[in-house]
Amino acid sequence: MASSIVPLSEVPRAAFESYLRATSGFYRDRDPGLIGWKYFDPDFNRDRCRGMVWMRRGEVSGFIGAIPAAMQQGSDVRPLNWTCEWGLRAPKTSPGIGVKLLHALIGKVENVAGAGGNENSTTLGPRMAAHSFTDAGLFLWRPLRASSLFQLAAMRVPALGALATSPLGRVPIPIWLGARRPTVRTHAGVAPVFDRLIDQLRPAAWTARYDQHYLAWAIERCPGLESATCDAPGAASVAWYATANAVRHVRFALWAAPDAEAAARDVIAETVRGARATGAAIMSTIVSRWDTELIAALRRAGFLPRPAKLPLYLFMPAVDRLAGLNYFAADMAQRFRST
Amino acid sequence: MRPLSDLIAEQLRIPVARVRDDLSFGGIPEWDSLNHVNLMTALEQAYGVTIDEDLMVELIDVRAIRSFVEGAT
Repeated sequence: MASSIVPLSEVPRAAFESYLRATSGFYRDRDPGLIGWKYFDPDFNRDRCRGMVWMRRGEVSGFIGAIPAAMQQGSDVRPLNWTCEWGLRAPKTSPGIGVKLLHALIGKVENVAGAGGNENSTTLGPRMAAHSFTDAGLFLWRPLRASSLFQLAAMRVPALGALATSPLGRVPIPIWLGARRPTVRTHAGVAPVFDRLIDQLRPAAWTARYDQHYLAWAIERCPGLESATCDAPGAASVAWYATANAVRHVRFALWAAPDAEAAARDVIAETVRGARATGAAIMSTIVSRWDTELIAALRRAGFLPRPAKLPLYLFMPAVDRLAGLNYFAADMAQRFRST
Repeated sequence: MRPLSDLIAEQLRIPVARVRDDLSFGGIPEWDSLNHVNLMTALEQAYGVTIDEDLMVELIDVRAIRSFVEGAT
């Protein structure tokens, strides 16, 4: 039987799930429903292409995933497809097939981009992309409990690592958040207020855009995640945050209308309160290097830059940069690997 | 017709003298997956052949490529 590269929708689901479990350690010890949620959610998929598969001798032998999102410049909204889980069952004996998978995806869906990613992405991405950036996204973090500082210190003095899991590690780090604003509200899950803010935004440059429908899939229906939405009056600023049961790390994304500095400040403070209430040791976010107002708001609120940066690969010649990077790019929101 | 060694050297961006029958994919940094695809595309154009995915993963050294090209032309 000749091999072929076909859309995921043409592949038996059991064969695909077996491939992902065999090739990705991420799925092996996690909720068995994770693959079904990610690739076979009909409400999210809406018949859109979710990836391209290399079938060889009746077996799934390679895959590149697509996560359909959107991008916006002014009032112009277009499809955007994030790549994910780009890999092969036997990379050493499958030369060139990873490249062919990406070519097939670019030929199948509009506006393909990659953020972060595995070895395939970071080695091939810069060479195949029309535009690539090694530092498109900044990671900003804030320690909430002493354990996160002990873990940081253990990188220089390993003996301090033991303190992170000791009772001393649970001690909260004092953070001055200012007076609580009763008008800033926190809702469980992804609140409908989110779309009101997104509909107000008219970014001058191409910016990744997510809506309620996307977030409901990415966060609310994702097994193992708990989420909340925090918003200021008039939807001037909204933060989403989520934590995984097994990991004491809250990840969040922040959106703010132009000139909504005060609202952003209040929403950040309330998000920190919410994260602390979960017992988290650390919270973090990702911001595009081009989103200078968001970076400034987070730095003023005490968030610290990490040395690591998020690479971005744009496989679309007409778009030379893409703002709006956050944990919703690709599948980063779901990939809680460690604290 | 253009010598196969010249075509391989050009696609891998190496001197022709380095193109020997035992040269293989992954054996030198220049012969990586992206250049492998470029090489297969160049072979298709130069010799009027079709190289599908099954063949692509078999043409992994100069000897195999030479044998394929000689059989196809």
